[in-house]
Amino acid sequence: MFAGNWNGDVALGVTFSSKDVVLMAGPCTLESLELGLKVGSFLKDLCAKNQIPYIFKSSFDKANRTKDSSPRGPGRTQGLEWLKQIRQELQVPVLTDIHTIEDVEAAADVCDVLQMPAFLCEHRELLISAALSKKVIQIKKGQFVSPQYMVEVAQYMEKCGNSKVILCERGTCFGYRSLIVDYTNIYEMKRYGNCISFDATHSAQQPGNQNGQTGGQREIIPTLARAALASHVNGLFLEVHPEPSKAWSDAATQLSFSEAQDVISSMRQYGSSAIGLSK
Amino acid sequence: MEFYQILPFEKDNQDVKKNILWDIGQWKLSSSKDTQEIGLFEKNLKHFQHQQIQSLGVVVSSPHQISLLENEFTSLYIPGSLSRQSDLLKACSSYSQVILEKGPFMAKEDILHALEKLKPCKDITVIDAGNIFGKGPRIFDIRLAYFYESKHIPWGIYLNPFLEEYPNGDSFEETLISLIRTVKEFGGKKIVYHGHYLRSQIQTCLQVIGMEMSL
Repeated sequence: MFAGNWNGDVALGVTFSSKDVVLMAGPCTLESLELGLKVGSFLKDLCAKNQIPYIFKSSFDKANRTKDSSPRGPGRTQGLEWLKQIRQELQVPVLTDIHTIEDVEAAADVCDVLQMPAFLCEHRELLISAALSKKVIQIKKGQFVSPQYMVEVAQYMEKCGNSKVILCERGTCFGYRSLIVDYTNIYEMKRYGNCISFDATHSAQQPGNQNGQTGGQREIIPTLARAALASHVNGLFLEVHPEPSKAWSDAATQLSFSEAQDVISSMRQYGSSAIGLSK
Repeated sequence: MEFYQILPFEKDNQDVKKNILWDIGQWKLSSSKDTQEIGLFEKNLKHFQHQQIQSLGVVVSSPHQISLLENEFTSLYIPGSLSRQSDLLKACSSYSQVILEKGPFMAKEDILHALEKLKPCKDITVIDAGNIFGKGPRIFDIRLAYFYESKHIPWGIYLNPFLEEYPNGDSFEETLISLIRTVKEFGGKKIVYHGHYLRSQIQTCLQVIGMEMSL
């Protein structure tokens, strides 16, 4: 049981718990239905082989691109239609970002987990509308807020009638181009009983480091994930693309299939090495 | 140089007129004790629609809110953590005056991209709210003062984020004086703050440094 007596249930047999870490993964932007199905099928099979509960993740709108000219995705109507098909065909829960109250209402009809982007983690009315959807809500921790603040956010969601909340660590700004993960944040947020996930992809970002595009250190992702699993997170978030260099967004930090396979195959092993921490 | 106070719209302050940036939607969650009411922006906007004169500014947090406005306010204020939201910035771009608070995660190049999203608005002021360097207080990077000056970007600062390291009522007079003097020296135009306590502290500091002005 998590804070607010949430039992961790999502849908289609996937449950967050202290036992099995849930993987939330997929392409950053839902570039096409074919891409979603290709990545989702690969990850579903890999997770089944490794006995890891899996949620498909992809965004229909990247609403805060650094440059206005960068592609944003298929849009709400088309994107949600594709997510619906992916859910139906793969029989896995799906997760997507929400940026507006209108997004919440539409996405709640299709998706099992709604995700509040880090930049919007302070947005009071968006939080309320997400809570009212009664869906599981993953809230990314802003790179600029404290873990204590995120605990307040989770408590606010509970007051709004929804305790099905996952707080997601994704690093803290150290100046302009560097994010550093303080793993004590996971403990700080978890000790109030919250369900905690770790976004290994965006924690490896180097914002504004590539001439108007977000850069990153893909090679550090396995290490970041390993430390989070050792800190006993309940969920791990990864972005995966068959050809990361051609991805519409976050090309520097999406994992290729072989890189994703290395991380996912090691997930159970990583978590088991932690000694002395209560799950 | 002008001072602007961000003020939530409440019954007891609705007659305040001077240099106010109205936070009529209470967009930002401060703590779990905050109101669970939705639609505050729409509800409080009605008060301003009945007035004959324009109020100074309003804090906006969604494109929908901007679509409701009918010239009740002279300018729009975009909060820092929303400073990359493309649709919000584009919706603001048709307004005559925009005050853009720089996100604490933004490098100077990112500011130029945000300004690009705000075209064709010609009257934009960037309000620097510092940058995050870990869990400590925000830091104002003096290189940005040079950047604003050299790029001819009208700018100012938002005081409160720099003062968060004084949680126990400790004196922050020296920090405040330093910030105000820096803005003045590098040609900053606006200083934004919130809170009645800070208002009286600023007034005291202005007297100390010989800048007599009424807030």
